[in-house]
Amino acid sequence: MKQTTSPTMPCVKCNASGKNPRTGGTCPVCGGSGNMDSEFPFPYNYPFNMTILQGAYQATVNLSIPGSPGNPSQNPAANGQFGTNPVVLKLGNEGAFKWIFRMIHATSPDVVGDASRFLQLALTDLSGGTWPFQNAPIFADLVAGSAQLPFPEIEPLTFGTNTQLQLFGYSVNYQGITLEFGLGTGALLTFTTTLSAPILRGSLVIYENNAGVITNVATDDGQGTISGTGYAGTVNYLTGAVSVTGTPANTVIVGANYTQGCARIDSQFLMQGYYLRPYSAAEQAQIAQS
Amino acid sequence: MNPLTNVWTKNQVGQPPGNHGRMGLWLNTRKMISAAFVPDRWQRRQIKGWAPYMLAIPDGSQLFTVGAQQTVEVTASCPVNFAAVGFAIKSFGPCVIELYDVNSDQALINASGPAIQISNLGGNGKFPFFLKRMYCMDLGNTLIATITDLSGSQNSGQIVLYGYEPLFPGVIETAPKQQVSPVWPAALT
Repeated sequence: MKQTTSPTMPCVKCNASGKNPRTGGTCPVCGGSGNMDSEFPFPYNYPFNMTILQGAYQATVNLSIPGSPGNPSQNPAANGQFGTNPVVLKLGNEGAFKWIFRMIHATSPDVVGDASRFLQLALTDLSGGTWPFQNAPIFADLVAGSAQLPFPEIEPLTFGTNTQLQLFGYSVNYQGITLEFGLGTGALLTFTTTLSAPILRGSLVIYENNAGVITNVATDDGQGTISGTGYAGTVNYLTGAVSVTGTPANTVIVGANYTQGCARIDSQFLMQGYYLRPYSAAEQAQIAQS
Repeated sequence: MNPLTNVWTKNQVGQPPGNHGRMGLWLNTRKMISAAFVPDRWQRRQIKGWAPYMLAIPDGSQLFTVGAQQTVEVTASCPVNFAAVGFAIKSFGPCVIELYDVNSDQALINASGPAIQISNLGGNGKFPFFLKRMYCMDLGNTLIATITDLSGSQNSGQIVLYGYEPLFPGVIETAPKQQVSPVWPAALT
């Protein structure tokens, strides 16, 4: 649509209207230049390091990923081995921070590559009350991109000094998945199948289906071993490969019931933007000489 | 760097501002972009200083879940005044979607034609899909999504509207030169 009125925009100093964006002219209200006349932006990054552990694995440090992000300043109680959930981050007090891009990096020992599809995030501003940035937790790979493909703010937001932000992480689990993959003959048999990975550690149940009567016969121990009444086997949480050996009766169906999800997710949500630093004396001198 | 020649600061020291605004406007694959792919700056100036907000559908749970070959209706009630600037979708299987705005009594997808594949509705964090013009909703506005699974197994996902809400308390008095009284762009609805 054609712009039919004089191009004006709010003054960034006082929000009064009337400033001409094409000329950068004087604001008629505050009398200032209408420009951010004393700040020099330089790139700045605010990371949120977060670790999500589920169920019995909350204390299982040996699930850590080599090179996973440590976050000692935010979680000293955990010896800096991993981030917390939630993460509270206080922005600096030297100047405002203009938020431009969002990035997410999420990994899990049970996922090949990007684990952000099993992670949901909820960001809240704690300054002056609780103010969420969304109405429900949102998939991390919808919230943010990567350094190569960053998610851009269409209209960047400027945070004031000392703003406190809180990031909550939620793991995404798909419960109650079943797959029947074997038929008994009364002899000792080994059944193999591939379930939808990643398999949530400790969630796998091997069952027998005898004409509609379900009997659980084995479970996994969270470390890759399946054991139970008359059954033994292995599970690869990363690939979903399952192998169980047992002696189901003739015509008894062998199946698996499990949850798809990650026992641990390490992630870093990054707010990239510009820190607005006051001009140095030298820079002010350059401007004055022009 | 000399503020007079630095592209990020030259607008602050008296030069006419460039086409991309004070700090520029980017899309990840197009870097500094034209208004062909996002709301133009005449639209964006009306959300200047607003806070990013994401409206998830459904709003009552983490995900929508639809059984194999089944149809489910999920809703989201807008808890804020909201200017939507883009769509994102997450679906773990093929499905089609209809979208309906209750307050304006307006279908956002051709109501007399077939539903659209959900992957055609929106992008994701790495490849966001932005609208050419903002779509504004008032507080309490309800969106209804009708989702039909096309696969042979249960499907889950989430629909997200990227957008902005009027200024919030986090961008407060301590923020230097932050505008404090945005105007709701009623003319754009």
